[in-house]
Amino acid sequence: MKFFTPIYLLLTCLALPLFSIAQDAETQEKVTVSGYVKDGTSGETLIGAAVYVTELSNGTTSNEYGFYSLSIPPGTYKLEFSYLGFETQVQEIVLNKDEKLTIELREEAEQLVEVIVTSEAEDRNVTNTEMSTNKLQLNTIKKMPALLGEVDVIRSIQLLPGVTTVGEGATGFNVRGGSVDQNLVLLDEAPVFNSSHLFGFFSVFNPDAVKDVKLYKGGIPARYGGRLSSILDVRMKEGNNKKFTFSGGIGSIFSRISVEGPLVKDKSSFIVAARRSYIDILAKPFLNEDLQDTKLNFYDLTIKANYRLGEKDRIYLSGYLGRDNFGFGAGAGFNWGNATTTLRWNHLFSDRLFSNFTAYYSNYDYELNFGDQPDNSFDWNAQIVNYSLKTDFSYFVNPDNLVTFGGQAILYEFEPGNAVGVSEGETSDFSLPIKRALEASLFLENEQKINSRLSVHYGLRLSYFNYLGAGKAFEFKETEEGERKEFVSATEFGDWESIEDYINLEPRASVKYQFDPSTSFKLSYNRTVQYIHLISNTVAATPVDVWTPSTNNIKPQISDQIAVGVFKNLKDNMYVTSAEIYYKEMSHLVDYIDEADLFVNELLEADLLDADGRAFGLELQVEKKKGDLTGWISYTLARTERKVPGVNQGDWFPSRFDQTHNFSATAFYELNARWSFSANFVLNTGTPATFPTHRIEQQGYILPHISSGQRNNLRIPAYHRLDLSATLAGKKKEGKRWYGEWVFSIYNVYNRRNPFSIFFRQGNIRPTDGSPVQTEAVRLSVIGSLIPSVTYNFKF
Amino acid sequence: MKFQNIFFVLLFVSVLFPACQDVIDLDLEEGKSQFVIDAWINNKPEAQVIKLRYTSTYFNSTPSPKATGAEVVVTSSTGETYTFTDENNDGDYTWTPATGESFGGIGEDYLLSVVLEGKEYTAVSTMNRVMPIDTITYEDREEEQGDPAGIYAEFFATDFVGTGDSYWIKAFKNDQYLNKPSELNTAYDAGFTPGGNIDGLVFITPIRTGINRVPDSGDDAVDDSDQPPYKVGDKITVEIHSLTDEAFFFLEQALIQMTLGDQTIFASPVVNVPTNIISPSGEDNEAVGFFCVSAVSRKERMVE
Repeated sequence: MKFFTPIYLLLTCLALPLFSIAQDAETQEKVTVSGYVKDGTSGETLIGAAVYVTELSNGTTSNEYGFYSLSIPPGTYKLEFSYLGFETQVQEIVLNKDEKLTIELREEAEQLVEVIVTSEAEDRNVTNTEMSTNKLQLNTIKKMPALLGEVDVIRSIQLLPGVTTVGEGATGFNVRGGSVDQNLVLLDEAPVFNSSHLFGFFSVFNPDAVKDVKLYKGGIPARYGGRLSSILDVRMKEGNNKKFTFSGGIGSIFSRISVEGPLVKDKSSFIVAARRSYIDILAKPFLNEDLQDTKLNFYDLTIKANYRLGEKDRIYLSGYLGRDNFGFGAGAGFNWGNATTTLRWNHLFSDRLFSNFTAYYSNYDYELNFGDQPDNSFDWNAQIVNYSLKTDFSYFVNPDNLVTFGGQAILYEFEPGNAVGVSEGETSDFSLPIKRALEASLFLENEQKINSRLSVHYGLRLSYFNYLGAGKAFEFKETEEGERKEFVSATEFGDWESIEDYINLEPRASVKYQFDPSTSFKLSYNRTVQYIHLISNTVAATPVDVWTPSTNNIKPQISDQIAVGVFKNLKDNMYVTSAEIYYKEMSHLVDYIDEADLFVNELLEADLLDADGRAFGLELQVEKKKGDLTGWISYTLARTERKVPGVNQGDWFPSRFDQTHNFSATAFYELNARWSFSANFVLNTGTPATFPTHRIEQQGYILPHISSGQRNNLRIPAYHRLDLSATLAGKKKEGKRWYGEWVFSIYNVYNRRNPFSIFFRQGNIRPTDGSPVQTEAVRLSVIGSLIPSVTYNFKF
Repeated sequence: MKFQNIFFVLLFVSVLFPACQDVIDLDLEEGKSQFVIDAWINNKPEAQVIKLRYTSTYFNSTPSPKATGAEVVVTSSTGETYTFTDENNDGDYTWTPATGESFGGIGEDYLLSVVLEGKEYTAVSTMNRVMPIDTITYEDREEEQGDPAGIYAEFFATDFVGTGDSYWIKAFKNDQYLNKPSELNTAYDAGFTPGGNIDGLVFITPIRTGINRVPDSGDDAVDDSDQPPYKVGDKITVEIHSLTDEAFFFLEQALIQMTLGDQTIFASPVVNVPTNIISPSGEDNEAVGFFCVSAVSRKERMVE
């Protein structure tokens, strides 16, 4: 009950400005101009395009569906539409009644004579309330040097300040000291549980099908929730609604092909994009006969279609299917993948009330099997499935207020492991029971311009989680801090019976104060709550790690973050700079006892520890946006620590993803119309690891031993790497549809063996009786040489 | 854990990125040396040895410092006492059964007492039941998936009905124990782990075939030429040592800790293996090591 008082209080606070807005709307007569901002070439809607009313010195931006709405007093206005990389367009409009105005912007490359240089969009980083947010244009991502020439969304964001990885091949990414499961990766609003192919080498997003990528590290709007550290919002293209285009690429790992075009001209369009790796096909002639059955491939398929039902309604259907397959002869196989389906309906209740309804399904599963005879085999699979219904409304009150509200319900089904072993024809099934949970949330937020200097964005999210039966609720007793808890009892619950529930309020707020047109100061606070947890205590998360809901023993993770920043643009927005400081406190993080057994363990919860975390840092970024030479430099000075009862005497110690210094530089250089070059350089402090101090001899074996028992007592050496790439664009000829480009890239140019980890072992020679056993430290480098590659991309 | 190991090793070795490994020099943290008890005794009719040592720094490959001058006594729940003595003053404390006799009895509990420099360290264990080995078979195999051609063996034994039995399967080739960490073979009931609930069956295949020598893996592998696969004329010996739950868990953890490198980027962190030695001061890490009493079944077969 104690929750409800603050809820009322906060709702009242939120509602007050809304009432004043409503009054304001009534006292002054207003008309609305609304519509969509689109790419003139493909008809693709543009997200975050600026719409600026010159006479009022005020404006708005298009939302995730390209929709904008402005309610202003009647009059004659010049509306300026701008979007990065596109020519700014000015439209004069006489407004005395509600009007529809859909604008198609032309790409800058096709610039004509009458160019307007001033562009509202270019200084968005200074003028809007958003902070701790990075938006990467796909064009930028495509220009970066990529491992084996494969354009990669996840690897690109690792070059941004505050984003790190534990190493090459490690899945996912870490944001401001958070673990990989604390990032909500959304593909057209459906969560993707494993964002990687081939462990962490390639991400699951096909660059040909992605329109827009946005990463929220802090100042997270109330409409997003469910994860602690970040939101990676990936939006798929809708498909060209004017003409059919084909694009694709032939690379060293994948081949890609995508088709997009109108289904019904200007009403409906689609895109289908597919990729498949062909290491297995290429490797086949070189494999021994007994390895001929080796299966090694990964593929993904992205499909999206939309249909406009009229002026007010539009339907989108998108789907993703990706799979990694590995097999070793007939004897062993392993595969995993994600599948998502999203159905969305945009409806305009009025020119000022935009709504979206989403239903999605998302699934991540893996399967292991071995044994090629029916009477000696082992089969194993696990999955996490979720179904969700979601709605959000955008109410464009006036140019100074944009109210967004909505809600979501998610039903989770966790299958932690279905396993059947057959030994000499006798079967034994040791599957773990299914777990179910419901997550529901409501949110309300307002983006408000108080005056020309001050803007605020505030909101509240109410989240609720219910761990449901059928299942057993275990009770444990702590015997000693940091040790396995003792089993006390188990209570059986029936189907859909509530086992445990949690309710949380998540306030979010950001403030912007503008000193002058090119300088602003921002402040944000957010609380985020996470109800599902990835159980993993290895250096890099594995594809077989299991997700688990919050239960009576596992509490929801909670994080509070404060960030302040200064944003300054120089030389007419040629240089975009930012400096941010953040401080984050986290509670109920999942940690593990020393000998945790996380695999097929019904009593898993006895091996988990409830940890506190904190992270703080300084992030600096300078970006050059114009000219032949563009790019950015980012530097992060950070610390992320954990405090776990019974571990390291209960003191704070650096977490596995702590990197004191993290520096990266990315540069793009356009030599001429055909040649362009790019380079990346990264340098960061090695991550902490636990190294032994002593050896124990038992029955002739040598065991590592840490005399102090401390975790993360040392660090692996620093990581640095340089990548280069050159692109040769085909000649553009009038009337020629075929466009091709060659991309040459070198990853790890100066051939450094960056350590992923250091491990300790007995020497590789069989110990002989009586003589002492040699031990050694071994550096494991995932990529131990430079990797060149050539890719050919085409479009027609 | 073992399933994961097998898969990821296979995967990583075969995947396009052959992870490279280099032996490097490293300075480790300093720390205090601790007392180590290495007490794994059994009912084989032979001398039983309890080794008392100290930990040495991790890279120190000289023999571990010996703890001499201790009093070592094992007492059974039936009141029998066994005194282990260090005749050679080398830290190896020995008790030798009379001809035709052996240590202890199945189902009995044992208390180990070690008095060193006036402090008493204790530990308890139980000699659990062990089943006989039914057969050892072998077959001639072609080269397959990295294993060279040769003779490969398999043994058959059936787990007792009722969960909670655990075993250490030791294989000897021509009386030489296959002692590489990757060859360490343990079973819980008929499967790998307690969670598996594979009870009362014949051991599952990977355990049955876990009596063959394991070749080195990794890109710096040297062919393990001193121990090729079995060949005609070799003697295969298999022993099953019964374990307590704690001892099984100890070996499981020891195996993980010794083979972390095989798990490439998915390695678990380095942690201390558990101990069942109770130190007098009550401090956890005063003494480390393990005490376990096993019953042993044994079978031999010549390759013909």
